[in-house]
Amino acid sequence: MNLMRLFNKDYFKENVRKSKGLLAFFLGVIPLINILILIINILNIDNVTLFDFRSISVVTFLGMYVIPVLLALTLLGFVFKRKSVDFVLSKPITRKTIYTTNIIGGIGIIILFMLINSLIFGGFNLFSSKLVIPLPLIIDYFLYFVIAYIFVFMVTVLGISLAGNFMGTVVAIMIVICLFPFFKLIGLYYNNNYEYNNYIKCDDKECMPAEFNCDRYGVTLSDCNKKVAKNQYPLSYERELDDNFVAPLTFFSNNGELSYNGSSIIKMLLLSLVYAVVGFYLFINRKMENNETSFKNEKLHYIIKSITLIPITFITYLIIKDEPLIGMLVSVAMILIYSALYDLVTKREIYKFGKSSVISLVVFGILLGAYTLGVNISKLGEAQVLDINDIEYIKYGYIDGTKITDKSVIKALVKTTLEDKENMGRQSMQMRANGKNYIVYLGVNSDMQNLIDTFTDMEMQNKYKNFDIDNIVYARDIELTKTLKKLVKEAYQKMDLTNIDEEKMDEVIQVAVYKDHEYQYIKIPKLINKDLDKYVLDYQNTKALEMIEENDSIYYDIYMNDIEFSDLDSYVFSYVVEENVEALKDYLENDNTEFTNTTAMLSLTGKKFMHIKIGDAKKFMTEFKKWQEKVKNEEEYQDLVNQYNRYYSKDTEAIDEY
Amino acid sequence: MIEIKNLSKCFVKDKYVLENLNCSIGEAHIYGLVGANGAGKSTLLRLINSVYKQDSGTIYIDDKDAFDNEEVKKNLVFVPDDLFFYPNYSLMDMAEYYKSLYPRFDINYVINIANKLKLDINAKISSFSKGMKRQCALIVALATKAKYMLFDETFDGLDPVVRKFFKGLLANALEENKTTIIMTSHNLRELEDICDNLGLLYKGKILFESDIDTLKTNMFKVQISLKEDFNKETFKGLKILSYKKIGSIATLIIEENGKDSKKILNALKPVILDYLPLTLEEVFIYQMEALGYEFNEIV
Repeated sequence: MNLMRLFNKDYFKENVRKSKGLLAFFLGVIPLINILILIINILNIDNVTLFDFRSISVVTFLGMYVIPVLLALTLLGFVFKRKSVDFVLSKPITRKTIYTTNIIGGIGIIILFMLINSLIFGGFNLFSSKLVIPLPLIIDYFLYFVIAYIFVFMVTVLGISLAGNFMGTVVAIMIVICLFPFFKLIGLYYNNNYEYNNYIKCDDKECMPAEFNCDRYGVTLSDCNKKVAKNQYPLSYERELDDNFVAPLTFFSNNGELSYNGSSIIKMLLLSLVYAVVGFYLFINRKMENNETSFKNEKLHYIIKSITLIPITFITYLIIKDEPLIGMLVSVAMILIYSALYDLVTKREIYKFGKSSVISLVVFGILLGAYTLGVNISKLGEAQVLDINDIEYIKYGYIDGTKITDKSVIKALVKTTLEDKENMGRQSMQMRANGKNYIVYLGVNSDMQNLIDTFTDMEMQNKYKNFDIDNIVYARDIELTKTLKKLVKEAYQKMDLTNIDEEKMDEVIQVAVYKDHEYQYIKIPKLINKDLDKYVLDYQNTKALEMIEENDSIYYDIYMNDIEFSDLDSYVFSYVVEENVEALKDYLENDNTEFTNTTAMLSLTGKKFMHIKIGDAKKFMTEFKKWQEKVKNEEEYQDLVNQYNRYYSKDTEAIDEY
Repeated sequence: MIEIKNLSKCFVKDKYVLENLNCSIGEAHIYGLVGANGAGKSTLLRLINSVYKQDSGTIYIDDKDAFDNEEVKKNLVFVPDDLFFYPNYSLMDMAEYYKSLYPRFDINYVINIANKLKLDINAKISSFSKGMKRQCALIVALATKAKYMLFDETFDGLDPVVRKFFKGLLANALEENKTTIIMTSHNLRELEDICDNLGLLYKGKILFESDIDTLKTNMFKVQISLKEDFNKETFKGLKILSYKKIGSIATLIIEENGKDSKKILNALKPVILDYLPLTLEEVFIYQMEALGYEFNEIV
């Protein structure tokens, strides 16, 4: 195949060159903002900042609504003007080559753009010890947004191939991206409209209730009894939106959280391919005289407008459902205004106002009828029956909850709910079955709570056991060096991974790996490895000393166990230390070589917050008393003592009396 | 050779801009296409150039289907009535763009002609006057050395001196490169001194087509007066397209068609016999009238 027929370098060069300023601006703006954000992070954050998918993606995500659209318009927007159509299409280059050149070139620009952004993140990760942006995260970012940008680019190209002006293209883009998910939304609305309960099928002892009485449920008794005879029991659950929306609609899924989504990538990739092929055929057969107005063909104009009325009428349907008379009046007015505005925006004129309004109202009427009918039909419909074996998981705890995948735990949960011996309150939980998301309402009694806890503990052990200790990317509050990695690994290897209880862990360092497109955290008790403990303390002490050197600390505090430290001492502590800061520095530089059983934690608060572990609290107290003696006669110290006596000692007396 | 057969194009359903148009344009000709607004002149040029796609019919250029054919398009250049230049482009930028697309593009030609016309090749075209923009478009088109050049409202906005200059350039292109030029205009006088063939487009069809020499040497305006009384029947041996008699003097428009009219008229021993040349416009008017059309409706 002659590559020149697919990609004409000269044509593309000139096509880009004509808008180089605009393109450079928009393509440059995102990397610049990203650089700025990274620099601000370096300057403002005290310790180490861990970037996740969301934090590195926000700007790029917003850019997705502008840059690929603009790119497609720059490359193929010539079709909107007769003059430019004449100019481009009269040149010795075929429509096929024009299309493929712009598609290949556009994708090339997107890849280059994402590569620049990824290199920026990679560069900052490499050269700044304050920022943690792991390479797998950057790869995820690159992959997700390259595909997402290509997807939006391809949809825009499709819109351009269909429509005759910019607004027409916007309408086409909205229809292509939003219509199918909208139908899914309506489907969900109907699906969840069934009167009371859906059913769960369980035909093994693990989940079958010992006793079940349909009377307790607000369901048709005969139906229920028939179903129960077939081991199908009423259970309250309803469908939820899927979480694999294409990137521009991602705010509909994952509770609006921006996250890496593999199935969304595959969907966008496949759709991009389909759009590219459809766009190709539309473009090479495009009526190039169709420009400067959305759709020259009147019928097509009305058809497209009618399609846009599908979601609008659904909104009016919801209004009318609540307030029939006023709702109808408001809706008719809305439709008439929308109809005129649509014509005005897409065709740049009020297009045959009377005819256009009548068509819009007729379409509105038909759609309204269809929605009403659909809802009524769905009410009559059969209840959904889900096989318990099809449940992939139930998530206990809505956000960051434990995914219960164990079939016997799931069955026990359902069985307990169905039996409902204790009249339990129901908890809503996320459920996934047959590749679909649901909300299920289950009862959890203390037995079940224990079962879930056991399962959660098991998951915890598994998490620790499978933790990829060789690929740690982050340690909380400390720079991750090779030495630290080695010490953490040694500590990890000393841990008893069969008996992990995070709540009981003391003096820990939290570390993370980036695996399966997300961070996984574990806690490592520092004291397991004395060298690790010392390393962390040295680090913290060095940083704290730097803080003292920089006069950054404005407040000192101390926490210690088993040492008598009076309230007055606590009250004047910051002042005393501040007045003896040089002595403190001397002390700290020579401390931490040995740790006694009575250690203390000195905290420093300034622009940053830092704490130092004092090796021997008793020794430190002796030093503190010396410093206190030195300033005892200072006026400020006396004022503090008076203040203390005035406010706190009285309170203490009052408390004692009480 | 451009051969168009049964070409039809409509923009609104059943309202044809061109309908079953047939036309054949030979090599190394300057073909003038005249017609009123909306006659379909620009549409025809756009169809030849694959800007638009025909609804039916064929366009063959050098025996190849012309639609979206890159090889054919390398030999075609089109200057539309409404000019387009990329924003911030200079004439030199445009020339480089054309050079990347046309294999025989002559950049020195652009520089040379621009110098003669005192056009700054590095100035932004957007800052030029309408006439200067037209000059730029014509220069780059001529520099392509394409075999077929299509010009819509060719000299629109050019002053008479520049117009003459470009006519010279077109004639040179024809002579040196055997270029075939198709140009449209409302104005017959403008085409008269440069075209060797003319076609009249009316309601989507070529109503009338001929080479200018034949048109001009085949038709005459004759003023005649005879000693005796006479009427149109007196001249029945001739093909008379128009006959008007005021007093004793009659004005005839005669189409020769191989007959020697002078010999026939002299045989009538006229008192007055004057042969007057016809302008191209007059030739068209009488031809159209002979075909039963009102010329004013057509052009």
